[in-house]
Amino acid sequence: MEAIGRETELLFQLLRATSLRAQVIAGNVANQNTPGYTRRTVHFEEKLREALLAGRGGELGVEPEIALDKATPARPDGNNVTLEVELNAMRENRLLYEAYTTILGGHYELLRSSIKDGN
Amino acid sequence: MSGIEKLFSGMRASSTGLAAERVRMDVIAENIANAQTTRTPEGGPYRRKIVRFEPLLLEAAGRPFETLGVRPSAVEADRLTPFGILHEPGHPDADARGFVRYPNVNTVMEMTDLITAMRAYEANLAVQQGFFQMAERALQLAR
Amino acid sequence: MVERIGSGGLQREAILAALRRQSAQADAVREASAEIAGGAAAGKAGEAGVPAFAQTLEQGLRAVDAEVRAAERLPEDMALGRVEDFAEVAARVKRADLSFKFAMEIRNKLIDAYREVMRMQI
Repeated sequence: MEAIGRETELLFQLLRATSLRAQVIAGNVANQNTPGYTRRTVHFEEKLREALLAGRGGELGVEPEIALDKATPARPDGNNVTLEVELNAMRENRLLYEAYTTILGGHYELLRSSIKDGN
Repeated sequence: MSGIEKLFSGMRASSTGLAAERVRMDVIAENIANAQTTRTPEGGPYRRKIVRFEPLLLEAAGRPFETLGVRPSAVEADRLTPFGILHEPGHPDADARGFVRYPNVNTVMEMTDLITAMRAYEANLAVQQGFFQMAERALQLAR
Repeated sequence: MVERIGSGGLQREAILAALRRQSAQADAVREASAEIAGGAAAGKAGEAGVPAFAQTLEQGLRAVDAEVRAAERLPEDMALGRVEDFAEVAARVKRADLSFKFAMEIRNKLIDAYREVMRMQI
């Protein structure tokens, strides 16, 4: 029997990345009027997907990465943060966090009943 | 940033945004209040004030672009926008040729900036509340 | 181009992978439980299952100990900035709690097995 919790590593990676993205969104929103500020994004899901498809267990080493979003055009003052985009990203991110914590909660609930009724 | 603050870095970033927009709103209010002030204690008409914002960067080795928020780096006088000049010979502050210099405050623009600042303030507030909700949801796992 | 989280089913694949691992884990707990009960029965009959039982028990107790220690390290880790997310805080508490409950179940089964053996010898 392995230590309880080793199997949830993937879920914790997702949670940590989602948490980091929430922080990055907060940083963007705080700087929405800062001249010359380039919005930041978090790259994680794409890297994770590639590692999962490669199927050699490398997914556990995938780390979230903060990157500059140079693709979005900037306004005359050099700032490319749009409120609607950030707030939308925040809502999506919030839902994902909710989904992951729900799965994690279900996992522990499952373990709990396994322990009780597993005779 | 070290220690237990890591858990709150998102909330702190929003707080800096709230504080910065408050500073901007105060400065705008002062500009609007002094839009007609033709003489200040320093002499000359009131000069419009502007706030400079700068991002707070973490500068950690592994995360070069991580932002911790924003800060108002300076409140300074706007020396680029020229004063308005009107010909009012009877005015107490008129010069020898009867011209009066008025503050370089455009009230309409100040109001627009004020609305932008208020939107930004509310957005930072929404983001901050989102963090509280996420934390509460996460801690429910332990129950 | 605006970044869209969750486009192209990236999230769904990750979630499915997490669910698969989760049900595998629940099965493992059930198997371990059954193994302990089976080991106890084998011990009663005096078979070679007795060392297997002791081994499983030892592994189980080590795992519980590890989880309890992880929970004890939590305040220190928080003070040192090693914990980045509230979900991790809650999860470590929950894991220690579940490990403890598991240990209690093992203890109960041990007591039951002991009683069985004692009853036999009379």
